[in-house]
Parts: sequence; structure tokens; C-alpha cells
Amino acid sequence: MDAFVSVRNEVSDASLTMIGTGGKNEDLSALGLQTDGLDVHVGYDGERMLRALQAVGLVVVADYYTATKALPTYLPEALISGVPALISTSTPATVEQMALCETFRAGDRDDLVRQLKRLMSDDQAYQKLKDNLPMDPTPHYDRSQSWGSGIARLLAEIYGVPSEN
Amino acid sequence: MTHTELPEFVEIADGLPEALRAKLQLATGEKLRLCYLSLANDVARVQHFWAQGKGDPRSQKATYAGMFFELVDKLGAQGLLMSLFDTEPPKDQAVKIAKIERQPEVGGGKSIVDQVMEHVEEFQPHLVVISPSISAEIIPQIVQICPAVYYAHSLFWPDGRDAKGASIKSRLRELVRKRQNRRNLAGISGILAPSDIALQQTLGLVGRGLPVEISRNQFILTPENISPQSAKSLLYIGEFEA
Repeated sequence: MDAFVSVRNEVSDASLTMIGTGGKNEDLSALGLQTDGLDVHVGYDGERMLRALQAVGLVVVADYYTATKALPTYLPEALISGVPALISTSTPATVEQMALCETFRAGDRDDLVRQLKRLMSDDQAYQKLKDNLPMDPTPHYDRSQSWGSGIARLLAEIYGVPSEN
Repeated sequence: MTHTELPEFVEIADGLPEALRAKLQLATGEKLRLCYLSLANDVARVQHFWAQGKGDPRSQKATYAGMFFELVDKLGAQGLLMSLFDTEPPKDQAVKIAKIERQPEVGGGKSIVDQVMEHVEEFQPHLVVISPSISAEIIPQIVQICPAVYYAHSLFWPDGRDAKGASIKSRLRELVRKRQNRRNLAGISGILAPSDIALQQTLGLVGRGLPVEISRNQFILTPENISPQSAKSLLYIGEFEA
């Protein structure tokens, strides 16, 4: 949020949509009502996520990933949609996802602001990022690579029975 | 029950249910028993949709609970899930959902881990899949009962952090945490991870040689590529924290 305020001081037509939940729900909702260019949605809703992805130019994964935080929600959807992403170096994305994203140093707010301003002002840099997309969606429509199929193979392997056809 | 509205997301090898039955020497009428330990979501709510052949409208991708129901169905098994939410699960399902009470801050009551262990001991599963949404301290108890797969959904430490810049105190703290995690994970039989980084960190703690799998989220709808050609409209999806 601080990073967005810094960016907006220089790029007045910048806008931010926030979707998520946490200890700051009420504060951020109130801020969303008071701040131009800020739209805050508490909670996750699949259809809203997809609508939001269709309307934005850059997904930002600004969380500092620690032991208790899970994977970035909806990063694969963004990359498959052709929406570029700016993610922290601590983001536990896959190797192929990382290669398609711009990164900033984890926990370094100044670097986040710097990268945001650069991508907003340098059309070529932004276009270069966009040209690498969309990410190949094939693994995300291949049920053999699903969580459930992975458990089935592990179960077979652990008990020493054939795990593949 | 039909599943015409919800695509299939789980693939199993031909003959796997029979091969497992033979290997485990299950008695006639006895079923394979699988347990997935995660307390993060309202799985009973998801089961209501699944029982009607529908996906959870909150998610545009396959849910873990939904895939667990499908896996249990395809294996002709029995399943056990647990939930902290108040939603009553549908009746007569192959996957039972046990209610876990949050431990009051003061006054007695069984701990979450104790409640979970009671259900696991009663169920006597042939495999437990453990997610990080439950304390890893439960793993040494689980592996005394049956093999366990650890689902490495979260990282153990932030990847990409410059360790040289960390203070001695934080490095020591991390060392202690690593030892605890190594001890907790010591008995697991397999690892499932959603990213290479999460898999490598877990392997770094438990050593090589275990069966491993990397899974990918499975989408129901195809996102469209109609985003504007500018980085000025931003989308943040994640935690609302300070």
C-alpha cells in the first residue's frame, strides 16, 4: 500500500485493485473508500478474480514469503491470461513462472517502488515482459499433473505397486 | 451420483485399487483408508457441491478437497478429512469430515493436535497426507501409525533472501527452526510440492531418496487475454497485512 502511494505521487493515473484477506481487512476497506484509484475487495471469489485479471495491466505479488505463507494465489492464471507480473524474489513460484516475471528484492519496498515506476514509464520494458506471455497453459489442463493424481502415484510408490499405466 | 458438471481432475493407474488391496491384504469388505490433514478450508461446504457434481463457485480451479473426494471415489476407498468450520457435511459420503474444535485460550479443552490424533487413531488410515495448515509437530505421531506424505504448500524459509545480511540472532533462530523441521519431517514417506523451490527446501531437510511429485493447479475456466497494454493498472492479490 505504501509502495502504491509512492508510485501514485508521480504517476497520477495509476490504479490499484486489491483482493485478499487478513488482519487489515477493515483498515484497507476504509482506505479504499477514501482513496482515488484504490479498489479493495475482501475475500476470494473465483469469478471476481478472473474479471480483475481481465482489467489490469500488472499483477503484483508483494508479500514477503516466510515459512507460514503459501504460494501466490492466482499467479498462474495471470501469466496464462497474458498479464505480466512483478513478484518478490522470495515468491515460491515455479522455475518457469519465475522466468516470465519481473522481480524485486524481497522485503525491499524501495526496490518495489523503483520497479513499479520503471514498468509504468518504460513502455518497451513492459512490452518485453508482455511479449513472453501468455504462459503455456498445458500443465494446468492436464489432470495427470494434479494434486490428486500426484497423491495416487505416491501412494502406489510407497506401497510398491505400479504407479503408471 | 453423477459428476457431469465438474470435470475429472484425478488420474489413477489402471488396476491400482486392486493392486493396493492385494498388497495391503485387505479383508473382504474392508476398504483402503486415506486421510488428508488440512484445517485451512471449509471442506464440508466443498463436499456439498461435490456431492451434487459441482465445483466450489469460490474457486475457478480444482480444489484440494474436491480432488480428495474424487481420489477416494476412484480408489473405492474411505476417506477422512477434518474441519474447524461449523458447516454440517452431507450424509452418506465415502469421505467423513470430523469436526475439530478450536482450543480455548484459557481453560482446558483438548488441543487441536490431540483431537486430530484421536480421529486418526480411530480411523487407522493406510496413508495420511499432511498439509502445513496443521502443526508439523504432529508428523512424528502420525508416522507411528501409517506412512505419511507431506504436502509442501509453503516454504520453510524465504527463498532468495540474502543470508549475508541477516543478523546472527536471526540466523541462529533459522538454524533452530531448521532443526525442528528436520526432526518433525524425519519419518515422512513422500513429498508432494506445488513448486520446485518448495520441493528443494523440503528435500534439503529430509534428504534425497523419497518418492516426490510436483503438482500443478488445474483450471476449470480458461482466463482470457484482454488486459490493457499498460502497467499503470495494478492488481494485488494476497494477504491484507501491515
